[in-house]
Amino acid sequence: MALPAKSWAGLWGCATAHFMDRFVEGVSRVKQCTVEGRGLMALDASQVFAAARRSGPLLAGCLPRGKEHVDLYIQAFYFSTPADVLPWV
Amino acid sequence: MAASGAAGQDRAGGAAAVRAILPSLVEVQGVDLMQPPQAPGLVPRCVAVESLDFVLEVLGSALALVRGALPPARADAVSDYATEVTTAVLELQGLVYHSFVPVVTPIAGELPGSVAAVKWQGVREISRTSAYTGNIAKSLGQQGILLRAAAHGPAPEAPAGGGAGSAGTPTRRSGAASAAAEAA
Repeated sequence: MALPAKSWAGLWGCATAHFMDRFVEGVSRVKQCTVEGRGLMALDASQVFAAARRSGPLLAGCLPRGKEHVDLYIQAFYFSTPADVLPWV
Repeated sequence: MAASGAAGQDRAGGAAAVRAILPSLVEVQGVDLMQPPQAPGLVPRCVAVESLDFVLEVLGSALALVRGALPPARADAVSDYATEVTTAVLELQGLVYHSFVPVVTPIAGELPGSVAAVKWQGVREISRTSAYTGNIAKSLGQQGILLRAAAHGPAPEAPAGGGAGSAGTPTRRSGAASAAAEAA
């Protein structure tokens, strides 16, 4: 009995989304960060997502949350006024 | 006594009739329910939910025909049933996949602590990634090999451009749901 290809894609999509969620949780714990640091965060997130893409099938319909989920969170660091933050929330 | 004896004979006769009508119980043999060893139960459960998905596709293809053969009031009930069943199967798929995510991503729990431990104040070269990303990539590669071995086949193509959908469940709609939506 073999793992169906659709299950493989579904499982890997869920696993990748789980990694992205964990990454966002890690970013949320960071207390001090510069503009360069935010760029490095985005770079690390890209690296993790690229590793997931290399290691298994990532199909659009089977990926609940991808790298853009992390990017949206990192971009929130750049907001300087509550008026900018509220639409993001 | 005679009455109870007759009743017993009726029951025995009824049981024999049931045995004659119903097919014998299906016994699955040769299926290793603990497959693969690194993620026990993953493969049989995935096969089970995908089998249900196939049944839904058959139901979806027959739905329009069934609706056409019924009076309108009953036809709506059939569509509602198809939608309900489709939702249940998709939820089951999501549950199965999510329940195995911690098994296939054992290093994910360390990721928040690793990210938070890095100094994000621009002291290193902008083009270099953090050290922990190497461990994550290595672990992802190992788990990918495990699942590839379990699948015994090539990976599906058409890589994703990004995330779609929400709520952490697969967003694909089954045939029955599509047919129900079209019928509605």
